[in-house]
Formats: sequence, structure tokens, C-alpha cells
Amino acid sequence: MRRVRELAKKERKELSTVARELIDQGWVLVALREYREGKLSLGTMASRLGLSLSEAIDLLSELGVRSPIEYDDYLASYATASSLIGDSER
Amino acid sequence: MGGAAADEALAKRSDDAIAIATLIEEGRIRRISIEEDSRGLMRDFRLHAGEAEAVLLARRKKSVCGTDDGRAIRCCKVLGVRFTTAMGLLVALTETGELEKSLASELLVKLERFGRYHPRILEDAGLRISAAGEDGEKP
Repeated sequence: MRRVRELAKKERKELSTVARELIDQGWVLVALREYREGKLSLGTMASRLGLSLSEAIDLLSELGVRSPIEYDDYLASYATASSLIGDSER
Repeated sequence: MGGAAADEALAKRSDDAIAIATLIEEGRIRRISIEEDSRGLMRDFRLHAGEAEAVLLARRKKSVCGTDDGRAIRCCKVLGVRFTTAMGLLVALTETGELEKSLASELLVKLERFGRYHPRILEDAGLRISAAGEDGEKP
């Protein structure tokens, strides 16, 4: 409570407003952490935060949250794309 | 593209939503409704509707699921559905000459920002794009 009072004083806002904002920011942080740890998909995270996919990607980009795609998955996806393009050219 | 995925992509009038809407209008992307229930996948793999639908659509069509989502990729691996990513497509299209290297380099910079890939992936993709078409050899 001391920190909330401190922040309310600093930002010249009502105590309840600051408390609500902190809860909202905490909610965002929890969703971002779960996404980063691979516990949430991008769509689920976006939905939880009330954002469109595009807005969620912008937020992740702004905060520098790395995609949970692993190197081996990228290599597999590259191999699949190569064979897909090869098949379509034949 | 599944109906739910299209709805998610077109939810707000962002630049990419406008681009996707145009491709749908031109018939270059088709919206396909899936009768199969995606709720099981959504629950088991903690996916959102559009992601679950994309995996189901690829499985039903015995095709490839295009996704940059880590959980959707995990789901594809468990179900034996082939998948690809934006970065995989970018490199492969550049190597086959479908995409010019200069454009590929620009897109790589965009993907670095918005795709938020691991530096090892970015480095590998950068090397492959640089080497594409130089001597016919892949790095």
C-alpha cells in the first residue's frame, strides 16, 4: 500500500486509479511472461489482453519479447518451405 | 485460411489487416470454414481459435500449416502436421529465386523486429539469404 500511495502522490492521481493501473500492468506482465515461457500462444495472449494479433505483435516487439520458436523448428520450417516450393515448381 | 484466423487477422484496421483483406478480395487467399471442432486442440495445447483452426485445416488438407506461434508448432509436431514459418518461407523463396535478394533483406529486417526470432535464427537466415544465388550452393 505504501508503494501505491507513493506512486499516486508522484503521478498526482487518485489512489484507486493508480491501484487499478498497477493491476492492469501486472495482468499484462503475467500474460507476456507466460507467452515468453511458451505457456500461451500468441492468439491466446492477445485475446487475454484484449488486443488484436497485430497489436499484440507490436507490444511484444516494443518490449523486446523474443518469439519462442526454437532453432530446430526454424530449420524444419525452412526444409518444409523448400520442399513445398520445389513441389510447386515441378 | 480458416474463418476464425481470418476474423482475428482482420479484427482491426491495421496495415497488415488491410493487406490480408485485399488478398481475400482478390481471391488469392480463400476463407475456409472448418466443421471439425477445434475446442479440444484449444484446450489441450492452449491455442486460440485461429491457431487451432490453422492446424486442423492443414491436417484435414494434408497440407502445411504456416505459423510463427511456438505452441501451434508444438501442436503440429505432436499431430504430425508439417509446418513452416515466415522465416523459413523467406529463406526458401530467396534461395529458389522467387524473391529478390534486396527485397528479402528488407523483409529480414522487418522480421527481426516483428518476428522477434532468436539471434541464431536471424544469423542463419541472413547467411542463407546472402549466399542465395551466388554459387548455387546452400550455406
